[in-house]
Amino acid sequence: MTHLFVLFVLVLLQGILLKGFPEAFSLVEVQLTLNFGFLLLAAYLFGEWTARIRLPKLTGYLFAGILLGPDVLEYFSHESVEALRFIDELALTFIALSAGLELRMKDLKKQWRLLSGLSLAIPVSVFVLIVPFVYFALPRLGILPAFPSSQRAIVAALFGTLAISQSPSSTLAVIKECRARGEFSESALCVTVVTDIFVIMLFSFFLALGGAVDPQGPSFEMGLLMTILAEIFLSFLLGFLLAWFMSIYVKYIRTESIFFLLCVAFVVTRLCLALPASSAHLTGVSIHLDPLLICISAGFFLRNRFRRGPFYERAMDRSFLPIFVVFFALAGTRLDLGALGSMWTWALLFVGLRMLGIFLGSNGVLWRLGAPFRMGNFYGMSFITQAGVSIGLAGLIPGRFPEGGDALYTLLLASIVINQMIGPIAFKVALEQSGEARGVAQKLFRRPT
Amino acid sequence: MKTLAGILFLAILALAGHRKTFVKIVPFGAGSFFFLTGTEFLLVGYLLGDSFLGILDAHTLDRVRPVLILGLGWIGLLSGIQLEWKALRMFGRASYLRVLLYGCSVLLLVSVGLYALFRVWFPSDPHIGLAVAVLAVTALCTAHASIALWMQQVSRRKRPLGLMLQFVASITGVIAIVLFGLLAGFYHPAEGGVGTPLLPLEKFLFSLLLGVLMGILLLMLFRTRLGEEDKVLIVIGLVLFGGGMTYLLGISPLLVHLVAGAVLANFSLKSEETFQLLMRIERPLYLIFLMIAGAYLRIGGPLVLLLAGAYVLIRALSQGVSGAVFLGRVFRDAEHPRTRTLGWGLLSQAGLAVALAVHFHLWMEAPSSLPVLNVTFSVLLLAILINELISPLGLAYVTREK
Repeated sequence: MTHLFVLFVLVLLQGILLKGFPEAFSLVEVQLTLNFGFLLLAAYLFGEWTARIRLPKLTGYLFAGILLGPDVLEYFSHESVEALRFIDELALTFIALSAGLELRMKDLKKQWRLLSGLSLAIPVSVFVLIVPFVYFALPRLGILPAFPSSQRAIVAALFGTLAISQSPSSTLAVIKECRARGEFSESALCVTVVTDIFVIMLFSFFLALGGAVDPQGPSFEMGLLMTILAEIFLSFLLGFLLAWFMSIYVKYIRTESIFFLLCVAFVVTRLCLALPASSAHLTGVSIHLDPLLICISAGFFLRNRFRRGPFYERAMDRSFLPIFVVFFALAGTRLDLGALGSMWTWALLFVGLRMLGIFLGSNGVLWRLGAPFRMGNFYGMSFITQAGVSIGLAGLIPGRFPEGGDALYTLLLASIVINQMIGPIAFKVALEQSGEARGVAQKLFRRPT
Repeated sequence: MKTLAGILFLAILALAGHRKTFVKIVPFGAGSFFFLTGTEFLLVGYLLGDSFLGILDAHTLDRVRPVLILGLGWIGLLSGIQLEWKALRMFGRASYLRVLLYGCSVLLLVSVGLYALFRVWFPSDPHIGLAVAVLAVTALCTAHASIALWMQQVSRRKRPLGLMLQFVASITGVIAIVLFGLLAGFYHPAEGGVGTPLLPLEKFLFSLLLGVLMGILLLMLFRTRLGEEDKVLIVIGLVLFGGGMTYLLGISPLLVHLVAGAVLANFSLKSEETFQLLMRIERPLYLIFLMIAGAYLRIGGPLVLLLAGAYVLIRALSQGVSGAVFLGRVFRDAEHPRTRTLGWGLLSQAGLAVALAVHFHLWMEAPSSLPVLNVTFSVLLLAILINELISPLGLAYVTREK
């Protein structure tokens, strides 16, 4: 009740200020103090409230973002949300670093059969179900224009690739909230991270291939593909260097770790933003590095190569709450309810097919490994969520396919919105039922996998 | 890229500086407070600013303005949370009256001295009154950190003297924030759609009300069972929200958060815990705050140096004389009955004075068009630097007398 009352007072105050000083809300000072503070508090209080009705706090943060965002109460305009984007980017790098830190080589080796099985089977089964759906059904339903068959195949492949993608940030957020620890949560996070890296590469490949089948476009863009692969390699390399630098920091300074991490996140995001223009200016080649990959690999190397994982893990555990709150609340403000409204039936069908693929894949693997049947379902429930990477990649489609691209993008966004809403709830249920929530680690498998 | 380099520079310096400044203690002696309290970061900021390296240029400084607003709110909250009635009432009513009189005396003497000086240099400037008021109010501030560090160095027998100094510094600090809150009421922003049409006194009362509201919100949230990370989020969120609101309304973030902190200190059972939490996060934030403030410093010519020197002299004399008159017999019950030199122990000015200077700078929409106000900020920062250098001598003098 206290939380709701404070939330009410904050909403009231912000509403009065918005009415009284509409022009001032374009000032950076106001956006980064008043708006940011309000979003942080409102989303936190909403999250605490949803936790009481046994929903993940993350869902509360998302709903707070949706409610206060430009589509519903309009406390945040599109410009205000855009002004807070750099905070969102900072949070994402933090989360990626933490996800990398969770990848323990020792555990990965122990569970390699399970991990490799899930990382292969789920993408394949989802891809196999989604591609024919997009290829055959969407043109007949009028959503996809009458493309030549080769181009239609590329669109279907891109759709299939995006359907594979998951959300490491949401997975990590639910794991942290439930204080889950054990084989199930570790392997779920690992598969999510590996799948996302795989998706980035596969999507780039199909996008490059798209040039070859487009009659008006360039021939197969081998150069583009090579550039993307080089960029991925560079991101990993930079991740290694960052991990090395961070290990030196632990050795010599070792103080104010949260502040240092914030600086690292800031430098990585700014560097990735500034690099394309600077590299184009200096060398004529525009280099795009992915902050997500840099930080995941930095976390991985910190944990497994430089053995500084526990130090940063402790620091991150203390700072996770504000990061998650901001990240998911901002994600909520950006969720396009208009897209959901216009395409919800097709989006539901798309989501259903994707879920079927996920459950088939995970159950198949777990059956092969001799694990209990319910474990297959638990894994299925943990791979539903989609977020940042999917939205980012989907945003490239309208540019690549001007004709019909917007409709495809809307369909994808609508399905991501649904997945983002139900995914965390499903994963929390899976963690609770598996017994790993609240730090109760259990041996889930009858024999080592 | 330049902003990135600037921020990176700030961060590395703040981290390395924090290590050197707060962890490895420099030996006590003349000028030692300069390093112990982190005041050297004002100089680092000055070197990084447009005056020298240009890394923290005007554009970058504009982008980091929200950090200043956050810092001001934070300092206000920290000051307020120390105003716990249980601790304050250990000093008698007469002590408060004498400290109040001491504050008024310092205020009056510094105002008269500076007004006479400014009249000579800026004979026709209409903003002399405001400039003098700002400098006089800031003259009341004394750095708690310096006294605390000094107390660590002297023998246990002389500790009560330190407690007295801290008491005087606390009360005069509150007076300074309250007076600055009143002064902020006279601020009329030129652009951006911020500020309220309220009269200065109404703005002041509104600040108090808003502070109480923020304090109640903090109290309500802190009453529930919370982890440390929840508390950090709530404090950061409320300070940002409150800071933004004060910026929007053109009122003092220091005053609003001081009141909020005082409410929390007196009605929450966990105020000490909250204070420690705020202190843990404050250190790097404070160093960044100092560097940004330093980057705004402009020493155009000998005039600023001259005025800063004169301000330091007038402030020191005012404090010495007022201390001798009003603080001499305040603490008769304490172990040190003769405290006529107490005023000389209050010279150190960092911390709150920097916050007030930054607060003043945030008021200024177009400083270049108002020469006297532009000079005031630089005079204030330079005086803070000089005071940090000479304050150990004052404290040593107070100690030597007994």
